[in-house]
This record gives sequence, C-alpha cells and structure tokens, in this order.
Amino acid sequence: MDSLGLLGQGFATALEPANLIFLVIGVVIGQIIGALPGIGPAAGMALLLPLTFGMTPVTAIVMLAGIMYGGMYGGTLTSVLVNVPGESSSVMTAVDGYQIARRGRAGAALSIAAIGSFFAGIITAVVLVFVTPPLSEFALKFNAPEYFLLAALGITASASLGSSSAIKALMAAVLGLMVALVGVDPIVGLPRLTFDVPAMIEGIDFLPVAIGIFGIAEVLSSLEKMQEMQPIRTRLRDMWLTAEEWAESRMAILRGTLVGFFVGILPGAGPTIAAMMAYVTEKRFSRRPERFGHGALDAVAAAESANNAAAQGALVPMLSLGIPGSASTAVLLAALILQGIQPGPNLMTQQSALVWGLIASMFIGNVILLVINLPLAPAFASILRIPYVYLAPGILMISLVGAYASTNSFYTVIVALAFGVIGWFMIKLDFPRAPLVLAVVLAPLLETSLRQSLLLSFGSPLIFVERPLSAVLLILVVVSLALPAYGAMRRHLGRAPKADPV
Amino acid sequence: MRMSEVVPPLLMLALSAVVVFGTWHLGYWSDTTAGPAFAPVWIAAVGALLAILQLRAARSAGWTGVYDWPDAVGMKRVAVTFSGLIVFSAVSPILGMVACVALFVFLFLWGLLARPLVPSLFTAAVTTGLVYLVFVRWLSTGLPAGIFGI
Repeated sequence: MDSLGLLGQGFATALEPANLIFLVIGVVIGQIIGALPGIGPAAGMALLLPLTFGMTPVTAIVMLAGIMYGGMYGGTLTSVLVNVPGESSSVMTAVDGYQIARRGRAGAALSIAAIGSFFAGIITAVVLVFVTPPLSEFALKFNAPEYFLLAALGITASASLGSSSAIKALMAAVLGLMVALVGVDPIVGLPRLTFDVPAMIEGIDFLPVAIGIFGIAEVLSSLEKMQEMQPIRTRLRDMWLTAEEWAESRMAILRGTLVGFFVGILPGAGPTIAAMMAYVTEKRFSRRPERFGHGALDAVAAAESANNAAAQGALVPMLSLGIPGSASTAVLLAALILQGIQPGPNLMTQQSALVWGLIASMFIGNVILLVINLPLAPAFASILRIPYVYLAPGILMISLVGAYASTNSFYTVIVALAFGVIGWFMIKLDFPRAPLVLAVVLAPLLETSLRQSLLLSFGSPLIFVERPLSAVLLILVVVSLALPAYGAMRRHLGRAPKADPV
Repeated sequence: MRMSEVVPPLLMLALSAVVVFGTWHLGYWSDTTAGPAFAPVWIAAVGALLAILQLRAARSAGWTGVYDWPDAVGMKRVAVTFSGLIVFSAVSPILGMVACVALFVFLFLWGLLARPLVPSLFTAAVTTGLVYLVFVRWLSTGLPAGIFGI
C-alpha cells in the first residue's frame, strides 16, 4: 500500500475515541508545560511516562508526541507576555516577542507564532509521510556495524551540535554510558558493576534517570528564585494580523520551517538550535535587519516555525532508524521500549498502525493547537497568573510516585532522587543533560552492535571501514568529533597573545 | 582554576577508575570477540581522556564565565526541598504514599514557602486527589498504604 493509503489508515487509528481523547490531553498538557517556565517538554514527557502503562502503545505514543510539539506552541505565551522563555526553544521568541507586546501588539506576536508553528507542523508531517518509509526501507540494509556507528553518531553529534562546550557534553554522554553499563552484560549475561546489590542486577532504568535529570532537577533549579509573573494582558480582538504584518512574516515562516526541519533531523541539534539558526537566517534575509532584537514580527515567525519543525523533524531518524535526535524523542523511544516495541527500521512494517497513527495524529494535533493558540490564547494566558510555587510540589510528587509506579520499588525512587541532584549540578555547572539521557537510551544498541560486529569480523575492527555504508557513517562520526575540536582550536589560537613584531 | 571547573573532571576520573576496576575481572576479550569488560574499559578510557582535557582547558584558558549559583535563601530552599523528598521516600512505607503526598505538598507550601493556609490546603488536597485517582484508581498501582490504609 502506498504512503497515502497508509496515512488514511493512520487517520482511522488516530480518530479512534481513546486515541483522540489522549491526543487532546497530550497537546493541552504540552501547551501548559511549554508555557510554564522551569519545566520543558522532555521533562513533562518523562514525568507522564508512568501514566502510559495503562494505555495501548498507539494511545501512549500519540499522547506523548502531543506533549512534545504542544510544548513548542506553549513556550510562546510566556516568551511574548512575560519575557521569560517557557522552554529553551522559545529564547529567540522572547527577544522580539516581548518588545512587540510592549508596543501593544502581543496578540499579533501570538497569532503569527501560532500560524507559523501550525504551518511548520503540517509541512513537517507531510514530509514525514513521504520521507520516513523510503528511509526506513533503506535502513533495512543496515547491519551491526552500521547500527553501532549510527548510535555513536547520535551521541557524538548531540555533543558537537547542541552545546557550547563539546568536552562537557561528551563527559555527560560518557556518564550516561557508564550508567547504562550497570546491570547484566547484554551478550553473556554476567552481572556488571552491581556491587552485590540485588536491585542493581536489573540495571538502572531510563525512566528514573529521565525523571530525575529533567523533572526533579528543573523544579529544584526553578525554586532557587521565586518570581511572580506579571504577564501583559491580551484580548481576542488583538489577535488579528494586519495585511502588512502578514506580508512581513509569510516568507519568514517558510524559511523558518525549512531551517527547522533540516536542523531537526540532525541528531542532537534540536528545536533550540533550530530557532536560533532560523533567527540568524531571517536577519540575513530581512530588508530591515536593524529591527531584529527590537520587536520584529518576522523574527518571531521564523523562530517559532523553526522550533516546531525541528521538534517534529526529529521524528524522522527516530521512526526510520530507531535513533533519537533529541531529548524528547529519546523519551518517546523509551516509551516504545517500555511498551514492548523494538524501535528500528522494522518499526514501519511491524508496527504500521502505530507509526501511521502517530503521523496522522500530528495533523490533528496541530489543528487542535492552532485552535488553542488563536481564539483561546487569552484564556490560556491566564494560566500564567497561577504562581509556580503551587505547581512545583505537585510536579515533584508526581515524579516520585511515577518513579515508584514503574517498578513498585523504592529503588527507582532513590535512583530518581540521585539523578535529580546530578541534574541540578549539571544545570549549575553548565553541563548539557540531553547527551546523558540519549546515551542511556542508545547504550544497549551501541554495545550490542559493537560486539556483534567484532564477532562477525573475528575481532577485526576493519569491518567498520570495509563496508561502504559503515565507512560513510564512520566519517560522519569523525567529523562530528573534529568540528568542535577545530572550533576550540580556533578559539584558542584567537585568544593566544600575538608575538611582538621584531 | 575554580573548584566548579575542577570537581567534575576529577569525579569523572574517579568514576572511570571504578568502572575499569569493577569490570576488569569479567574479561576484556574472549576467543575472537570482545568480552563483558571491553565496552566498560573503552568508555572509562574516553571518560578519563575527556576529564584530562577538561582539566587542561580549565588550567590553560582560565575560567571567564560566571556560574549561576543560588544565593543563601535559594540554596536553603533547594536543600530543604530535597531533604523533604528524602524524608518522603523514607516515611512513605510507614504512613502510606498518598498520605505523604498530602503532607509534603502542605508542608512545602505552608511551612517552607510561608504561603497562606487555605491555598496550601487546597493545593495539597487537589494534588493528593490527582495522585490517588490516577495511580491508585486508574493505573491500579500498589502504592504503599501504610498505617492509614490508603
């Protein structure tokens, strides 16, 4: 059956009452999580992961994906009305959006952000329909060496693209790999790094790690400074765009979508980098770049289109290769594994209803979010008036109860608390947390495929260069490591004192 | 070099050592393929290399950035909250998890943050109700019931 036929079946799946209800719940929760500073979509997804134990795989994934892209829409509200990014990918929106709001055009900024996000979401879903199946089919040619290098690329690229310090990001990834080593060896079944603690034989689950690193750490960090938010008021009639505003922004939406999608499919780059790149690109294309930073509507349009396109674009490598490109897709991948589904190129054929149901749900979810963010934006903005302190203890409690519920054991609660502290220190010491979580998810694939490759080659590492596909992937891994090293060297040379001319 | 720049790489060096010494006895290589200690040794080696690079970077370039550590009040709030979470985990098997949720939320808002009594009680009731409905009623999770039996 062709892609459109399968998409039709996907709509039938997505429109089933249970799936539709949880899709609505997912996008609304995503919208709220995105709007609340201090907790991002990945954290929200990790916290709500235990709730999906009672759902079918399709319902669970549709809801979690709804939180992921709903968060991209919600972040705009706080950025524009309070000048505080609801989540990191809305940083660039805050730069210009708040200036527009101070001029009395908050409604226009919210409108163009919603329209841009909607356009980007729909276009990305269309691209997913046509790109994912052939990519998945191509990936069926992959064997153990290619999977090892793909997993390695997922980790190294997240370090080189998504962080200011590649060394710190790689250290975070190594910590994640060390965490994943605990438990039973995947090939011969010997206990490893368990220190004779029976609970550690099971290893350290992804769920308490993600709950601690994202959920608990973010709440602890946001408790340091208690600020009551004073959002700028906006009304429904302010949401209309003038013809001039629309003309100013429409190409920015298109460019933002393109930049966002291509950044999104790169492992590790994510919506924040996408929004920044789209902002810079738009400034270059703009006839009046001097307005950027002082309330340019096209800047908001580009950044918001890009972050949603990137969030959804990250689903391409996840669905077709089983490799998560961002922290949110890592949580989504973990949800698949928890539901007993093996991610990878076979997902498209073995779990056709799930994949196509998910893609179809993105069309529906983006329509729901457009409705929420256009006529209902002023109503949702009132959520920002609830002091965050009343939500923080609830988030912490759901984190710990959720961690307990995943295994019915206090061991996972202790693990979540430990990673909460580790995550808090990582925030304070400027260590990116996404590489750690990605490494925990990718470590089993990395180690198993490495050892299978060496078994195939009778111990020769040449297997990674003899196969054309793996050679290409190896080059990409080397490039992803060399790029930040080159950048650091250039910075170092630029800072070195110049010798006095003689 | 600042403490904040030195402690993480030193911890990474220590962790790398733990990983190598904790897995070496399992075997690095067996017959024609890698053994259970193969990946741990390489991961530890990369960890140690990165730690040394980070120490070198901190020493040679000097630290120019500013870390956003909380002030004394903020630090106290974080420490008390985290201690509360540890107490929550310790007391849950005795008092019951649902009852502990109510207690934690109330004490956090009213005791730690000095919020008004009624909103604090209301938030505690709503959060507890939510946890009970979702985890106990819907997901049928066997949360520790404790002396109150819920």
